[in-house]
Amino acid sequence: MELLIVVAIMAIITSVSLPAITSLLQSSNLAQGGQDLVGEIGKARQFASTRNTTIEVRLIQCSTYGYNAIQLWSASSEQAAATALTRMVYLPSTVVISKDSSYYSQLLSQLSSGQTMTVNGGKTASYVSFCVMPSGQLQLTSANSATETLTMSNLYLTVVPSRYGTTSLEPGSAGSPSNYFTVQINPCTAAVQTYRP
Amino acid sequence: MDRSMPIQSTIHSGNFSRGGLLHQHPSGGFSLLELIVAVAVLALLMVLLGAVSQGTMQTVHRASGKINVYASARTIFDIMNTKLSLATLNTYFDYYDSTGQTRTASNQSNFVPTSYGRASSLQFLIQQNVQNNSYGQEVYFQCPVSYSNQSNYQSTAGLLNACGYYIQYGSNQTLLPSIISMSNSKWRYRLIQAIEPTESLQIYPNAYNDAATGWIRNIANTGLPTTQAKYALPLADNVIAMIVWPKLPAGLDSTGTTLTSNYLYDSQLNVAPVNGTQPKTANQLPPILQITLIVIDETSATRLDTHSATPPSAIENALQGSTFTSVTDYQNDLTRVTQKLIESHIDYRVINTSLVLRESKWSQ
Repeated sequence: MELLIVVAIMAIITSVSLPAITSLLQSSNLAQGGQDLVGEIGKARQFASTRNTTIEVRLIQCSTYGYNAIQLWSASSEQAAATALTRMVYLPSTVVISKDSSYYSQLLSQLSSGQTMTVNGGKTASYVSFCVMPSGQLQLTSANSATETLTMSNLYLTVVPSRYGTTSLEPGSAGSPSNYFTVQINPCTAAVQTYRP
Repeated sequence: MDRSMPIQSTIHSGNFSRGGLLHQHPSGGFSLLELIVAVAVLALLMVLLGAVSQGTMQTVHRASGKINVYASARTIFDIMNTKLSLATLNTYFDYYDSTGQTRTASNQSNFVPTSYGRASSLQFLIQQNVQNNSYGQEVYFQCPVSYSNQSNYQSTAGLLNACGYYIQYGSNQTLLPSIISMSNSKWRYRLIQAIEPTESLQIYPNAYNDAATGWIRNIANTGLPTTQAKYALPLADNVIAMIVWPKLPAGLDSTGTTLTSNYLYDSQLNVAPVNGTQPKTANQLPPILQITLIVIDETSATRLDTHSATPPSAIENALQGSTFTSVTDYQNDLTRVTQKLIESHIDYRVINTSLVLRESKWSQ
């Protein structure tokens, strides 16, 4: 009888705390994913500065929801083809970099899409990329080079829970992610700043 | 047997709450007193442990704050060095007439050369901070770093940019990502790098120094906490003062007063030759720039945040009265500011470096 009561109480406590634990896990995954992105951009900046070459940061889509892997490449030049510098860094499986360029990852609107590369296992994955120059300046593979100024307020990417990877809804509206991790990049120094709602 | 009896009786007599002496059953439990003592000891230990771990945390926090300041300072100097060391004036020699003018399209018909001297259409300028004298100096110059927003220019080497560095107190709300609410904006002292893309360079149409109409108009410090120059971007937060001191190499200039007594330097000031000679600074770059930054840590900055356009009074007071306007007072000014920062319990670092301007071909 006592055992039954204990089990029942445990069941109740678990069911009450489960949503809280899930959201805690989710938020720690978001932070982890955001830190991965921050770390790779920092590494790109460091590589570019020490090797005096332009480094390409590739955001690779290995998930159906959004970009979930990052890899650094030395940018192709007249002398040499692009080569991978680091191993692919995968974000935690429950989060991706949002593909929405109107709200969550406005940086994407300044990057040309539709490029593909071969990833582990011989599969083909699409990617977008931007470059960090030795000075720390960003070089965007913009499809519309008419953009006159790079305003810092739209140079950002957002790590969101996977199911919101392609959601294009204004933050705060119904159906939009309540928790995300935004990484903003300074176009002159490639320094990053992070924000959470 | 007769040895165990007295012991048992002592246990029982202590166990008075359980009933009479005769009806005792042996018990393995602890008395209330024992429990209280145990809990008290535990509590004491916890408090001690808490205090120790809090102290450790504080130390770690401070140390990592200091490391962050050093790391960001390295980045700052690295970035400033790549631009400043390439600063150029592209000086050439030209004829001047009696009014101090060089030959131009408008005066060429009646131009009478009277002397010969250094000339340049570019400028190197160090001026006092326009938002607040006490924030130190602002530096504006041109350098061929090919900064451009147009991809077809980015791969071309040697394109000229106008660039400036200065301290500005203000909010970063115009720079926030559009999905982040304005309440996340921070009011901070920031070291600003303003660099004008090469396609927008103003030096030829507006080749004079004036914040409103001259070549620095899109990069100059606005002097206001709420508006920023068109091409201004923050390089680092929490830098409360930047002192820029143009110097000759130490062997030639032991006091550092040969080029300037008040930190100010303008390569286009009094360039017209008088009796055939020009001031040393006319159309020449200083060979060395000593740059001093006073950086506070983010914890102190958060504590002092006024959330408004009014700068925190503790820092304003520390900077006040010591306005970094005379190079001979450099050390005194620094000591006074840091003393006041210590009095206000603000963690700070003073970071110092000397940048060599490679393009400076100094001739006396």
